[in-house]
Order: sequence, then structure tokens, then C-alpha cells
Amino acid sequence: MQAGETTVANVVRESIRRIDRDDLRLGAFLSVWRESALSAAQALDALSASDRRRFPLLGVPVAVKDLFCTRGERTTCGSRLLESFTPHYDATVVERLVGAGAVIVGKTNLDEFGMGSTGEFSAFRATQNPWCQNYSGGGSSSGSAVAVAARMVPCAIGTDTGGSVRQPAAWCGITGMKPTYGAVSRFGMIAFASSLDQAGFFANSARDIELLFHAVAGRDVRDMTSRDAPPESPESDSGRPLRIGYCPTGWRGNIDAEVEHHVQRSIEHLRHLGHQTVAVDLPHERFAIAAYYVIAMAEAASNLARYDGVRMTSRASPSGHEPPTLSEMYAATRFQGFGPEVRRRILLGTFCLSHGFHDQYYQQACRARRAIRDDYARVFEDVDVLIGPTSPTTAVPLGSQRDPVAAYWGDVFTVSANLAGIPALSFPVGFSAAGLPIGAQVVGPWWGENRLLKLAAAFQDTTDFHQRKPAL
Amino acid sequence: MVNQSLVERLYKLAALQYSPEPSSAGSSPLADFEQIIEFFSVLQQLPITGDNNVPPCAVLGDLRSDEVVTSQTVNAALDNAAQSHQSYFVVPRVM
Repeated sequence: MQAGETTVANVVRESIRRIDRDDLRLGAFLSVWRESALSAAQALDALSASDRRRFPLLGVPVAVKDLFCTRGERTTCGSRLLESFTPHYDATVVERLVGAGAVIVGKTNLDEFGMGSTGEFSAFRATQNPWCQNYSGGGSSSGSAVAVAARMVPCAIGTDTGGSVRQPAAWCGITGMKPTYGAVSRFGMIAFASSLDQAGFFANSARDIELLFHAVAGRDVRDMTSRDAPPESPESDSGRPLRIGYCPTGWRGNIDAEVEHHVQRSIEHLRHLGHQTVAVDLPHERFAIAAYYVIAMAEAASNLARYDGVRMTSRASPSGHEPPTLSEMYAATRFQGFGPEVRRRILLGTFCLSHGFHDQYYQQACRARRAIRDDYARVFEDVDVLIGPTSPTTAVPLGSQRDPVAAYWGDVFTVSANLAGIPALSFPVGFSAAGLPIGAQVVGPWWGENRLLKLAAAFQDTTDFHQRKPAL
Repeated sequence: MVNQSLVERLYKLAALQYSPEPSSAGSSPLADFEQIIEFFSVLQQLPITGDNNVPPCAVLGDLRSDEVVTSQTVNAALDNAAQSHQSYFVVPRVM
């Protein structure tokens, strides 16, 4: 497009054509912006060649998880409660993508309010894995991952609170990255758990993620937890061999044999590329999954208190009692508007914060979080990155995860990066015998995104897992 | 510790209508609660070191100036309201 070999309008039309062809079956999108995307494409095509060079993402079709506010366009969070909510502003991530020349083609499906790992908790429809019919594409950023894996768009934006970018990336055979907490503005990103939430990126390669990341990262005055990368950030290391840590005791008994096999092979491949691998110990890792869910549920209970049927949501009438009181209206609206998993998490978060349980659960979770963060700080004095599986299993059949605790255990390898606020990236390293993708995760020190991206790119330069496409 | 009375109290605190319906796994809300709280109980094995100050997860950037600026107009704020009248949100009676 920069060279004028094709037009932005042609590329965007092709993206929309693929969405129209495949999305009825896959369920990746909640809304497709046909007219505005083509209008934006035509405006970009009208620019002079010199003006086009100012846009690093010129004409790239991008899908955005329906958790990011988009001015004048519905933002549902996958929830009936926000089914007709239309923001009056764009999220900073959206503003910066458009400012870099990207063309947003639609909003993608998700587990309601980002709470879930299979895409089945969307109030509208479940998202299918393009690699295998009736299998989950992961979650909560299910639609964004599937849209990229099915080649409807070359890249997409999601959110990652406990693995919701990395796990669907692994299950869909693509690359996904969660940056350092604070690297990307959360303004306009509808909150689930504010100390854990971070925008994340999906693409078919680490090199494409690097382009996306650098287009949107950086301080935003509207999000005071956002910062520019400090000058002392870990550099991209100019190709020197890295010390790569792995924590084998954390895997044993916890993962599928095929996942373990392919992740081990990826570690051997990295050794073959000249890197050194070192066993490390993270002694407080065993508390991570419980600490994560206590903190996430507590923050969700607080954040979702604003949805009350008054200012921004639909409103329910309690049955059999007219006229209702305000509190009856709140209770009915929230019960009918939220799905079962969201209600469960609000209730448990309320429990963890309530009198008599706050110290035992929430305070303990915060202590565990501090210990986990300290473990990572210590380990990164010895190694450059950590590697391990992204998910203990490959994608699961839709409808198979009915036990909530079993589902929560699926996040066991991803939540620590959110607790500590460190960057993590999942990239494809193989396929199971059933043809389902397998991902490995590399985790870096604070502000170490460039190191992760360069390592994943080096792996992808010498393998082809990331280039394989599902048969559609 | 977890009993029916506590579950019903939590529904009230969370501003949710209480429902005894079973979950998708076929279990009652009380059974779900018990199972998940058991899942959290591993946290009790973490020793308390006496330092209750938890560091923030990110260093704040420079804070913006404390000045009054226009954010949303009244019409914009009312645009997504379930019910509104002139410049007011309309709600049911409190009592």
C-alpha cells in the first residue's frame, strides 16, 4: 500500500469479504464497520505518496475487542447490560491505531466483561476455533484471536487481565503479547480488574506485533498508570545469546503431554540458536492462581458496581412488584443483565472484600502478589527471559468446561505476569496429533517487550508454525 | 463458614437479585461458593511477614494539572441513560 501496488480500499474490501464469508460460522465479530472502514480506506488512498509515509500502519485492517470504547459505535463488552451502549469517545488505543493509519473493520466477540477463557460467556454467541469445528478459540479475547487466525484481519487488539490475549493466541496458533502494565493506556478500556488489565496484541508474527505495539504504546495523560518506557529498559540485546530460565517444577503433572513435548522442543530449538537455558525457582508461584482470582474478583465487584440501570445500561423491571424501589431496580437490572459467570465473580469479589473475610482473603492475596513480584525481580537478575507453556492444554470442546474451578486452573501459567505487571508473549510452537495449535510463552522483565519480540522473531525466522493456516 | 445466610447477604451487598437456580455444572450457588473458596484457601499457607504495605503495581507518571475542563456535555451524559427527563436521570423511588 505504501508503494502504491495496491489500494487501501482493495485490502479493506478483501478483509470484509473474508469476514462475510467465514464469520457466520466462526462468530468472531459482534459488529462489522463496512461503510466507515471503506470510507476511511478511500480517504487514505487519496493521500499523496509523501503523506502516506507518515502512517506506519497505513491501511492495515485491524479488529478491536468490544471492550474498547469507540465513538458513535456500540461497545457491548459482550453483555446484554451494555447491548445498546454507545460511547462518546474513543479509547486511546483506538485513537492511536487510527492515527497510525490503521483501518478498524469491526468489534470482536469476547467473554462478557473479559471474564472467561473459552469465549462461551459472551451474551450473544460463542466463538469457534477455526482449526477445529465446535472447539473453543480461547478467551476472553476470543473474537480477536479467531479473526487473526482465520486471516480475516492481519492483526487485532484484545485485553489481557489473566491471560486473555496469550491463551487464545496459543489455542488459535497465532502470536499474542501482553505488555508491561502501564506501557499502553487503559483510557477507554472498560475496566474488569484495574490493577491487572492491559491492552494486548494479536498478529501472525512477532514482527507484526512489534509494529502494532510501537504505534500505540506510551504515556497518556488520561491514564495516570501509563508511562513511556524508561531509558534504562532492557535493550533488544543486539543479537547476543540470552539466558532463558524455565521452571520445570511448575509444569510437572499440570500439563498435557503433547503440550509439554512441544514446549520442550521449542526450548531445545532456542538452545540450537545459541541461547543458554537455566532452571530457576519461583517459590511463590503456587499461590498465583488463587491470588489472581481473589484480586481480580474483588476489583471486578468494585468496577462493575457502576452498572445499575441508571446512567449507561438497559433497565429491568422486577417481576410481580410495581412500582419497584430503586434498590429493587438495581438488583433486577444487574441480575438480568449480567451473565452467570459475571454474577459469580461479583459475588465472590464481594465476599473477599467483606468484613470478616477481607484480611483472610484479599489481604493475603495482596501479600502473595508482592511475594510473586519479588520472585520475578530476583530471577531477572540471573536470567534474561523465562519460558514455559502458555496453557496446560490445547483448545477444549465448546460446552466441556462446566466446573468453574477446573476452568480457572487453565490460567495457571498466565496469571503471574499480570500479578507482577511484567510483559509476556505467546507464540506457536507446534500442533497436537489432533491438529490443535500449541503455544509457548516467554516472560520478560519490566519494559522488556523488545527482548521478547526479538526472541520470538528469531524463533519464527527458523520455523514455520506461525505461517500455517487453518483450512476454512 | 459459608452458609445460605451468608450467600443471601452477599447477593444483597452486590446489589443482585438472589436466585437459588443451579449453575451450568448443576450445582447450587452455595456449593459453587464452597468449592471456589476452598480453591482460595491455599493463600492461608502463605506466612505473614508483618509488612502489610503492598507496593503499587506501577509507578504513576506525572500527574496532570488539577483544572476544571469540559468532559461530557449533559446531553452526551444522558444519551445512554435508561430513562431521562430534561437534564435529569430518572430513577424509581428510593423507598
